[in-house]
Amino acid sequence: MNELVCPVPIECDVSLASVVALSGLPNLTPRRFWQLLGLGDPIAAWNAIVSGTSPLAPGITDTGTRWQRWAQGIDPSSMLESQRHAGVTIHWHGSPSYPTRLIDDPEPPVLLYCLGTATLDPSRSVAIVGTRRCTAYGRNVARELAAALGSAGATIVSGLAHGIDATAHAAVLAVGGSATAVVAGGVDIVYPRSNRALYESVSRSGALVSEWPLRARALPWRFPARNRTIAGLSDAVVVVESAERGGSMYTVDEAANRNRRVFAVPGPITSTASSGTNRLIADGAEVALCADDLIETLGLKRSNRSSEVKGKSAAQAVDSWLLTEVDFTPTSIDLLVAQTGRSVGEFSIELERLLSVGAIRRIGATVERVR
Amino acid sequence: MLSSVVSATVRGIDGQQVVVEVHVGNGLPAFNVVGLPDASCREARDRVRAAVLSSGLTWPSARITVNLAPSGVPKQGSGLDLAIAVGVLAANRQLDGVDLDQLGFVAELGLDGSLRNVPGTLSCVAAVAAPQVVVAPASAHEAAFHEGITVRAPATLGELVHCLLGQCPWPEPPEVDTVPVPAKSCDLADVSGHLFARTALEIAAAGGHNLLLIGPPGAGKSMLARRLPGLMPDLSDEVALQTTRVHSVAGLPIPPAELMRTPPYRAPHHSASMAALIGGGSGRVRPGEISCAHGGVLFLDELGEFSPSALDALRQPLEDGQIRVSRARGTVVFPADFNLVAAMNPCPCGFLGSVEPCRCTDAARHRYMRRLSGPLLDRIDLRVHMSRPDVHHLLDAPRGEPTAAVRARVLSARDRAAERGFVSNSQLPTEVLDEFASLSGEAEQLLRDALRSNRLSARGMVRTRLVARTIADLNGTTAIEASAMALAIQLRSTPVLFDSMGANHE
Ligand SMILES: [Zn+2]
Repeated sequence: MNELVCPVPIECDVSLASVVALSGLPNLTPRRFWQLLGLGDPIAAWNAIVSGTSPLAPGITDTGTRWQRWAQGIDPSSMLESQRHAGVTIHWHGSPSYPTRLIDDPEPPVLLYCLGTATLDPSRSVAIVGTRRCTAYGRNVARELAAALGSAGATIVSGLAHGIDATAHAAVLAVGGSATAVVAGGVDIVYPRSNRALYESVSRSGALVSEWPLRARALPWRFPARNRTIAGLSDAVVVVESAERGGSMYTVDEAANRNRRVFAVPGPITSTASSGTNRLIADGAEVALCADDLIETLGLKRSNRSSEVKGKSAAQAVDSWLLTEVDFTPTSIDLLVAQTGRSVGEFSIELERLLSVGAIRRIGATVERVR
Repeated sequence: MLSSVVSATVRGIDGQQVVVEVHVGNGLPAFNVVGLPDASCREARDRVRAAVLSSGLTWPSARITVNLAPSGVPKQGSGLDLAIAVGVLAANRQLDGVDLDQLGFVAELGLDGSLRNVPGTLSCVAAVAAPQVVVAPASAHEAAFHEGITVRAPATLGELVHCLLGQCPWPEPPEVDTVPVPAKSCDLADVSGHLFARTALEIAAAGGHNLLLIGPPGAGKSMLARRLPGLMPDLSDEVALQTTRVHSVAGLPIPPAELMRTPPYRAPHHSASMAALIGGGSGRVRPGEISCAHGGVLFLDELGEFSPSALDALRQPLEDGQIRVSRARGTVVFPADFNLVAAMNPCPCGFLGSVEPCRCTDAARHRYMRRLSGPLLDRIDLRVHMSRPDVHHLLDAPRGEPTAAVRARVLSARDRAAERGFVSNSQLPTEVLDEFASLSGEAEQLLRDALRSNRLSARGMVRTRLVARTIADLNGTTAIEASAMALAIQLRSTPVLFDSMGANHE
């Protein structure tokens, strides 16, 4: 598709170091990166940047001077060394470990930095994405789908942002599944910072992936590129909740460009967080109605889920006067107490029982049925 | 000539007797005060002189030296004014024949010679070793607490001199016509619904547990908090005396000729200064709001808006029941044993955890909740998330149980707790848990399940048992049954407000 893309000519550590150094250039979009490499030898390309003589961005242009100034503070070989020292593995386009799904991508990453143990070539991978401003419903669905798909053997790909992304990752790790997180900064940059614990568990038992070297900040221009990598690494993209102009919509566009299947989770027509997903359905996206459907359509094996299924049926078997009163949407606890006419003590016992088996969840002054 | 007059000053909330020695002698006219006076004490010179002159008395044109003994004790405030004036007059032989040994003097003087109330009169009068005490008419009811002390309350210095010289009888102490602290009628019956929050309030009253109310604006958090003092038992003699002294020293109105028996309710605004909240201040060291709430309720609305340093300073009193205020001239200790009721929104928009959708971003919620410091939250045993009363309350709102009925249960629960030998269940030490807070098999299972599903931490578990103990006391059972334990867990486990990582914020 892209005439510029060809295996990156890396013969030795010196040329790899040059590519690594180039990847850190400010405002270097994937397209320009390929253009730089199209000029020939990466070592020569790097030296041209340093001396301000690169034909793409000579030192007399804005970009050229910015690049030159940045490059003059960089020693490529020690930069490469620090990536290796931090345990980061580097997969460049053309190296044997480069993810297969990205090789024929219309605009593949030149190289990927990776922290973690999981393979980047899982047999099945599904992206679960959505808004940071998600609702309790969206969290529930993200959690449910990620756990089910993860148990069925699919790797869950997402962006490790707040909201849907983080929920999906946490859920798949909780069932012992595999997670690939594509981030918009260096793999050592925790963004948002409150996700630190999750970052650490993904880097331990999943894979943290980035197109940018260590210490690169999660700047706005990097997010679209990050989103196209999420789409590229996945067989299908499930959008759980998104506003009509949400960032997840870019991921959907990128997925469509790459012939990936796009599923959208329907939501209430009154919910802003579902306006984008409902619109996708109206525009012809596939509808994600339940985890089982997805598992079937994507050709995943359900047998691995036996433990999960068992847990579920145990919960469904809970016989409770309270459970029948609780909705799948948040229900006021005060209202429930009044409706059931029980004492707070009696009510609490039942509440505790249902919370312990995971049949319901309490959020503030409300409870909602989980299954 | 030399004279010696008895007065008192306040240190913390305790009175300290001060002997005012006055020497009037030859030399260039001068007026000096020595013996650790503070700024307002030094200003006494100007007030006293003006008061003497405007009362038609003679100011001696001589060298006047006033010594405040014992000299090692810092003197603060203007309560020594009257004693200094009387001392000067006596040393100037204007009060010959008066037996000053029988009298103590505690009042500030106005420039016109009028006697004015000073904060802490109650404590000062107690410290004065004299059978008769002269105070301002406005302080007469405070001074009248002390049996065996005759209270004299002339309106002016001139009148005082006439009475001392026997030229006219002592005036009758003024009648106190109004009750200074109006008992605002607020009854729990006015609160309908909110069953969990009402129960939590009852438990807070019975066990001395601190309470956090979370909910959107208009959920009725402050309405509920205001009703807590009404549920609490009357103050014991010891606490009542301390509380009344604090209020007197703080210059707050106190009931006429009796100790405060109703638990106080203080609700400082989050913009209140550190000194106003905790105690201290430049010059006279005043008790803060937390000490004024001694024995009662401290309500902090919009907890997250209070400065982190103020919230941090709450930890010591929550642990020890008192606050140490350090100043250049030494440390003052004020009592500060209160029930904390804190209220806050769950998130900037207020609707997180309600049926109505929350419109905040995760980041905004995190930022908001981060303002709550862990150590403070740790000391709050009861956390209730309230929602706005909705339509069903308006349709068939039964009136809630009245305060009197709930209070009766609280009192009998307190009696049960007292039999164990501890003031309140919230202070039961961990070592006696197994002895006093034994669990039924079912209750133990509930506790285990809550721990296993990460809804309680290890420390949370201990506190939960104490709360369960209080609930069992309210129910009148010896062992902790399942219902008491389940309710305690519900009230302790922090509601999961944001769980993008599945983390529980206990
Ligand atoms: Zn909100």
